[in-house]
Amino acid sequence: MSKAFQKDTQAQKNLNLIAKLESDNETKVFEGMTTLVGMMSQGYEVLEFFPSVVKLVASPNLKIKKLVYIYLDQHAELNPDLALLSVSTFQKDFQNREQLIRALSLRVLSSIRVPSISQIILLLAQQAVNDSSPYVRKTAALAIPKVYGLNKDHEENLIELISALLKDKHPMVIGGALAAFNQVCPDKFELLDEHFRKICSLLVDCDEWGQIIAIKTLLRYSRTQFVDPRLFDSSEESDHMKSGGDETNFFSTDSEEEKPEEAEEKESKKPKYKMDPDHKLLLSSTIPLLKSRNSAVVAEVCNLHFYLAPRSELRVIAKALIKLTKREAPVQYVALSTISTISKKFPKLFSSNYKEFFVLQPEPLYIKTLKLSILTQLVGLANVYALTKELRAYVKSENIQFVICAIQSMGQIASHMKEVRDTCLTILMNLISHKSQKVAGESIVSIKKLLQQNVDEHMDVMKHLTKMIDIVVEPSARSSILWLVGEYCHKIPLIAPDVLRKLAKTFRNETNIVKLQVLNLGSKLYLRNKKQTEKLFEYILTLSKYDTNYDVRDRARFIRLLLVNPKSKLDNAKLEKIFLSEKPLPLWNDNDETSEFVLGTLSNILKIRLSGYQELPKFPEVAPVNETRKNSTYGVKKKEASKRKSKKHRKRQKQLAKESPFFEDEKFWEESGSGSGSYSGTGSYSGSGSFSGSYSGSGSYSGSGSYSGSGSYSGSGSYSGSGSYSGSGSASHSATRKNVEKNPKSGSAHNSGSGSYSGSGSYSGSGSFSGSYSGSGSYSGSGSYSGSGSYSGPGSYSGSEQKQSNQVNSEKENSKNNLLDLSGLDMFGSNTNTNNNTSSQISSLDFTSNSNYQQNSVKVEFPMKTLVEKSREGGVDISYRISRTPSLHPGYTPIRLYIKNKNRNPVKNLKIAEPVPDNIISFQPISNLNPDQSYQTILYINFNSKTQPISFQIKSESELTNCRITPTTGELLIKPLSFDENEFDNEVSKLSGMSALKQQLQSIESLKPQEIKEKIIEIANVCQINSKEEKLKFVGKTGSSDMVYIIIDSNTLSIHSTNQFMIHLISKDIKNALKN
Amino acid sequence: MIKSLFILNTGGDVVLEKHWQGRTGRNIISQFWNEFTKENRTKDLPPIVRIRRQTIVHMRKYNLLYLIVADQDTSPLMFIEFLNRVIEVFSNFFSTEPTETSVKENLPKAFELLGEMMDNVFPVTTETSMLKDMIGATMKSTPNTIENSKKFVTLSSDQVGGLPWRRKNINHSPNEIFFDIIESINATIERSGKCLNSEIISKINCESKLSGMPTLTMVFNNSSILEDVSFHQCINLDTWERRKILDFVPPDGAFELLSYRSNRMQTQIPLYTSGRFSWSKKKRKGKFEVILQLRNSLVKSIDNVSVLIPLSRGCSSPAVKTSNGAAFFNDQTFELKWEIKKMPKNKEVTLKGSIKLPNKGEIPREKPVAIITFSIEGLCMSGLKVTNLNISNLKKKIFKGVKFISKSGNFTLKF
Repeated sequence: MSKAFQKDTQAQKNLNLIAKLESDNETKVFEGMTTLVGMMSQGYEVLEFFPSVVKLVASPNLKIKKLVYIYLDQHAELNPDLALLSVSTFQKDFQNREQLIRALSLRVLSSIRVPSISQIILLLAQQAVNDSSPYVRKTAALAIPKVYGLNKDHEENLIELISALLKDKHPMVIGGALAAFNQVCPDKFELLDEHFRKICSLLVDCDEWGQIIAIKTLLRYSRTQFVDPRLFDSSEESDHMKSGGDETNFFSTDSEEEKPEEAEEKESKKPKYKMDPDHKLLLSSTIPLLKSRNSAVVAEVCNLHFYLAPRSELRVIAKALIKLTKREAPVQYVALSTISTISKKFPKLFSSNYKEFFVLQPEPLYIKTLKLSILTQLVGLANVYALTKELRAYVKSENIQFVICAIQSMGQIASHMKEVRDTCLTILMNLISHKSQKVAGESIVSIKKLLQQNVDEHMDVMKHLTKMIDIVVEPSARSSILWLVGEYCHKIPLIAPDVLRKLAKTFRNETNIVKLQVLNLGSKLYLRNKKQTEKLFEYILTLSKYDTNYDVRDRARFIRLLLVNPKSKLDNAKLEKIFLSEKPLPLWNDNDETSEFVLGTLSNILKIRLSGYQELPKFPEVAPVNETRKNSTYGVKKKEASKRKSKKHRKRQKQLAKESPFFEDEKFWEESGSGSGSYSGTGSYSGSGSFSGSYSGSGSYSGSGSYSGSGSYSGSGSYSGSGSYSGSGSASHSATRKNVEKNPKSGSAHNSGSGSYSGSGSYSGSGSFSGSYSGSGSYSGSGSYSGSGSYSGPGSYSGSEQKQSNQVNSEKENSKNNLLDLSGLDMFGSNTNTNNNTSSQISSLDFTSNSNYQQNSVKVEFPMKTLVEKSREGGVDISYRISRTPSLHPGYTPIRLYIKNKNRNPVKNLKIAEPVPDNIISFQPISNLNPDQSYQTILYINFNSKTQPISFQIKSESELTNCRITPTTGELLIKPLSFDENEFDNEVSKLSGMSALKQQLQSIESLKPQEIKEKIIEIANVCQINSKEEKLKFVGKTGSSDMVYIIIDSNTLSIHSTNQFMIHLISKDIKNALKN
Repeated sequence: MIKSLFILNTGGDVVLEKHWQGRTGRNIISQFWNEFTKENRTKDLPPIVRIRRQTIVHMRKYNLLYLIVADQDTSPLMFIEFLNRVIEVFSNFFSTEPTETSVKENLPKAFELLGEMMDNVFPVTTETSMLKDMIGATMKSTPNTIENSKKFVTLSSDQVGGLPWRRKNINHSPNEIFFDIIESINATIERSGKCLNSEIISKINCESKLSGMPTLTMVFNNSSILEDVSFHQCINLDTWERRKILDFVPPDGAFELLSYRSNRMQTQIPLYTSGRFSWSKKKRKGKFEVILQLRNSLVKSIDNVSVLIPLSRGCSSPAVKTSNGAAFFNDQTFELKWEIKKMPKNKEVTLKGSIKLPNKGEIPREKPVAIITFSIEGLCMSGLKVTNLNISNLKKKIFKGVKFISKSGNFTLKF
């Protein structure tokens, strides 16, 4: 009755909950959802609420929506039909302006395991890959394996997505992309080729989970790309290692032993081994991660080095692993198993730290046994006495299991180190009388093995053991003793028959293994000492004949037929060969299966092969030639790589922390620099890995120096960033080259700058510039920058030329080296440069980054507009232009401000008046602007995809001025990072009717395609698509992620977009532009 | 890969369960619980076990047992560190240790957090500050905020992609930051008082209440002590490599800045320890003596020193005499505990006594050990000192403080 009542109340409760969920009052709904989620988390069955919940998915209240998402995440697959109702809401949410909502909708939708929606998820993921927010892109990456799990047919599309995501430069995305790679196509290593260097250098900036995945992937990748560095370890080196380990080790396994021959062989073939620079890069860029607080990251780095690093460089991981053993028990457990596997192969790595593995009393058993197995492997001349002393203490422990392990270790140590054999035997003998039969048995087994090695020396032990047969009960121990007596019965001729006599008496009560050993002993004695034992043996055989165990019966019959049966045709010699043959020395059970499983896997810990376990590829014998990787633009030189990386890291921190526009720009420059694959890719800088590396490393600084107009290298304090002379030299090469390339087209662009660089005059005019320039020979030769015929030629920047000019200018080189030193000190101060300096730096950066960004399109002059005239603002002129550099604040458009103080007095504390509107991210206040000083900075405005003007106030200590900025339609667009034609055509074909517009253009025939292109790019921030057809195709993206596609085919203009308003505006602008 | 997470209380009941990939039945949990509670295994069951063709990783913290069920192979440490993060995030969100009560009180929040922390078997967002931005505001359940939550005010776009460990627009008054340098000494002492081996395992805990985005630099007198070090992700590794200076933008609230390990000791072990223990077969008795003394030159005083001697089962009430403090015998756990409230200067304190063995059974072969715990404020055993702490990017007045604590880690006396 009471049960029925309970049921009733439960049903009542559920009804109440449904009423709440379906209520109109949001607070009640929220309460209901909270209760529901609470019930879910305790494992209650809540499927019956599904219809009520699925209705709520469209709720405008985000708090409710999130809870609904949580519910759907777990229950959708149980009710796929109803779940499909919610899909459209997800699709709508995916268009939301908030990146977190976009990501959330994608994440939850992709977690719904209903195969029929896999296509929809795929579509959303494809969109998300091009999202402006790295968080959404990462979510897209993580959705890929889910789609793959639902429907394997999409594999090709997914791989495409993965390769697109791998191109991403945000460290947050890389981790996700690699996770997807591992689950969808773990062996398609060719995808990684061109990104290898990038991943290496982004590693430090990734989040910890991304690091784990990346290291795992890079390890497997590298095993297919590089040759085994240990094949080439010269014998000298290993000798050195030996002396470093200061003792000889006895447990080194096969690899160690076969090594000398191997080495010799190899030495004759390939005397020298040079590590692939990429291999080196990987090793060096993972080392800093050993300082991570995440033990999984540390362990992964250790695994990577264990499988990839040369033997001589392993010390560093030994230290890191030992530190992990000081953490909490679970971490310690995994770290110790790793050490145990490693020390099996390289015992010397840890042998000097053997004390770290001494067992402490309070530790759990699994830690103790692991430590014991490690200690056993580490034994050597130097520590054997200390170890024996420790073991002597361990065997006294109360924990039987542990004592047994300690006995086994002691046996192993004694068998390999004759120095302590006697001591160990004594200790083991004492243990035979242990209260635990298991311990006693184990010690006898160990003694047996030890005795076999040298029985003559230890006859006293032998005799003592035979006496123990009266006391010992443990079957394994008894059988061990019997075996020993039988094996060496000729050495104890008086005792052996007596033992057999005793056993004959107790035979019936013995266990099977003991019985078998009795038969064994009997047959041996029968052969050696027939006279004394014949009768006894006959008796035992008879007993065995009627034994309950068929093994025993079988053995007895076998022996009887062979030995006792008079019909036996075998003579004594043959029988002796059968029964008394020499036995090989015992092997200690090295359970070697650990080394079969790759480190850092559950399989390695559990010693079982689990599903999902990945075998490590074997090193290739000859490293494959990999042009894609070699030609990728990331740096090769170790030093540079790490410097750049670190610089970036520092910068990222600072910039994010301070929101300083300067740094953002520099950051961009750097990114664009390093991403300048197109330059080297086109072959004009044929294959000079070092060139591109150094370019990206120091480009930002030297670039700024050469453009700054201050004309001297000392101005660019951070010249030394590249750390090497030739590196920096080539960096400026590249910078200049670009400049040259651009000059004809965009001369006006930088003329219209703040005037800090006044045309080409400043380049040739500044003697200091060309003087310090190492390759200046070729430059001065050509005379002027505009006549750049020699630069555009592809081979003209080859390394040899650089070298030549370096030699010529060795004097200058010296002076420059001095500068390098100086500027090295200056690196930290680079953010404290004077305003003047930084501003010019910015402008040049802006200039170059633009050019870089639009590598394959047209250089555009952005019209400069006046924001504040001097009459109104105490003599401060402010003009602006909309910058097309990608914004670091998604959704915000960067606006470059040019400020000049035309007043007689300095202007102080110039900033945007508070409160700063929501849609503006302010620049850092300008503390002081001297008369006639100009300054540039960046302001970020979120126009919210509208052409409405944005108003704000600029305030200085003395004045307050109203300003407004009106964007043109074209500037509301964001240029997508990458887009290919197929995708373009695909999308366009989907957009028709309301979403498309087709118009005839008049008077367009007079324009060349090139001119049209320039005009379009001038009015709108779009990206041109390389088309195979004759059409001109452009694509752009609005702030709310609507894509806008523009096609111009002879005189037809078509625009496709989901945003009809945009189509309208853009078409108007384009028509206007092309009219003139 | 991680399939499910279960949190059990001390009785083996499920407090919370979260599934990322399908639902894992509870019978695997009961089977694990049987395994776990088998005699002697509670401590000795390895942290990674195989049950019903599934892998279970378990971990105990604050009287809760966390179980991860996995069916695919991956890094075992990833599971363990993920659990560590879960516990860290829970304690930050519940503003108390995650115990059975506090988890039960915050079930929906905990559940939502777990959803955010992992996306399809892959850990994603595990930083408290980012999580606070993502859900912090949505879970306040007062009715007023419900109605007004149409706009996602706190979902600031800058956060994602910024510093993952620090939110923008943090405001504190007063502004203060405190560092606790906590050094634990692990040592094994012989009965003669000789130190067999010792090492210092230390960490720097930080409690930061600073506004905005401050950048801190910390300079040490002897940075070589920090050779074997692990850093919080906020620390700029490069500056450290080159200049041995810590340069970081701290997370908000309490966090562990770094941890280090050192074998070198600048000072002597602050507590001198020696003792004796012997079994007498005839009397079936064990006699023991423990001597402690302060090493005077270093420390003024140590409060609350305790010595714990775990004895073998069946031992009965010891006769104990102490020169200072009091000693108790717990006949459930068979542990003798000696507590000294205040260690005197220049004077040895002693514990003498004997215990009785049960009438039957063997004399134990093993001698017990004494586990000593102490904690000293103001002493730094490794000799590490902060010579300079600079805060830039914050114009307000800042209170800063550095405190040293030396304490015992695994400090045992072997008789």
